[in-house]
Amino acid sequence: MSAPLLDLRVSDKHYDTRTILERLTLSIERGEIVSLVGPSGCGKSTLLRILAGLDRDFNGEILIDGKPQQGPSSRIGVIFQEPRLLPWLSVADNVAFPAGPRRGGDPRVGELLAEVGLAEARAYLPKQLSGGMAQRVAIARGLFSEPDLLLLDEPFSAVDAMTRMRLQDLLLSLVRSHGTAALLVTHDLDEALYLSDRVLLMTPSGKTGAGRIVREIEVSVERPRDRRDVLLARLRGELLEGLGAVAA
Amino acid sequence: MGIDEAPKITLIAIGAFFPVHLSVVAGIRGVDRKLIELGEVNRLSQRALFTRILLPASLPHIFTGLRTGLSLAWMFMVAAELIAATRGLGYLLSDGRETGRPDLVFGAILLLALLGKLSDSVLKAIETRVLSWRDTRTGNSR
Repeated sequence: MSAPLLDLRVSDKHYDTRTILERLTLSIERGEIVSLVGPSGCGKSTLLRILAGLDRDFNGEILIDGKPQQGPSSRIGVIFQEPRLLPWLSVADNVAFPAGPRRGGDPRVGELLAEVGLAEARAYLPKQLSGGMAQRVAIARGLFSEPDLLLLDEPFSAVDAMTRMRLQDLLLSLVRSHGTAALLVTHDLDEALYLSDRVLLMTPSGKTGAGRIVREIEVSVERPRDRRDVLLARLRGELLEGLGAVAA
Repeated sequence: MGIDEAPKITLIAIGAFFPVHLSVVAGIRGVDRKLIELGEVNRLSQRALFTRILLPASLPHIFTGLRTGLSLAWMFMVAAELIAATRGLGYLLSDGRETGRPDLVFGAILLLALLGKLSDSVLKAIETRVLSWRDTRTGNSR
């Protein structure tokens, strides 16, 4: 059997004297969508920053296709909580940012913008976009370099409920058509269950209070999923129980 | 450097240098860490990080510094010409004072004000053009 797309082993991660993560392993297969949920402060975002290569101060290793990776990788794309568009670049230049300066003329930019439904907005400046539009541009930028794995840090937490549902469907169709794997950090249990193949529940545990993955839930509901699905509701209950046990 | 143009130019340059220098440093220090992370994630080199993120992001600060520097340059020019010069606006000021000709003095002051306003307006027009991407209140900001 070949190595999974991503294999992460963190033996520990400290901030000063506080232990944030401890004995944590995570592996993601090609094309798989995995969500990471847990109470705030449990180290979810730290884990994502480690995977993105932004935080190298930890004990452990990241393997991509079985090969150790240090620092940011071209095979991993990151979508942040805010769009983080560069305000001085047009939408097209922002999408093509990974390729180099002023590459907005790249034919792939047009394709990606059409996919996220913003074909007409290519010459706009970020200040002319709404929050939902800006996040769609950020998704297009995340996919521009054709990464094998997309990391998303609460990407839809700042948009309204209707926009969020539309963006979730958009993300789902994009990662599936591009065959990209995704790791999604979220606070929203419904979002996690609707999108993912697996949901990982992460909580501070042990006497150090370091973050660990305490439960893993397979979501075997067929796609396209119904947000009112009974099985999803039951899994949601299970997750809430897990979170409740943590809070107690 | 003698008493030719060189010492005057040096004085003006020193006077204008520091506000520009301070604003460039403050601008680059003040760049949002989130944008820098975006550069890191895209594996930009130090050089590319500077030209593609740090420099454009600090342009608003740099322009403020340039305009401050420009006004200081005018002041230093007058100061330099007051001390040792045989022509120029500062010389007209001191010459008019010594020969009792207020028309020269007021003319020089008026000309200075006009030149200062004109050069600042040119710089401001460039600033508005270069920084059209800024998402700030449009209208007459000074």
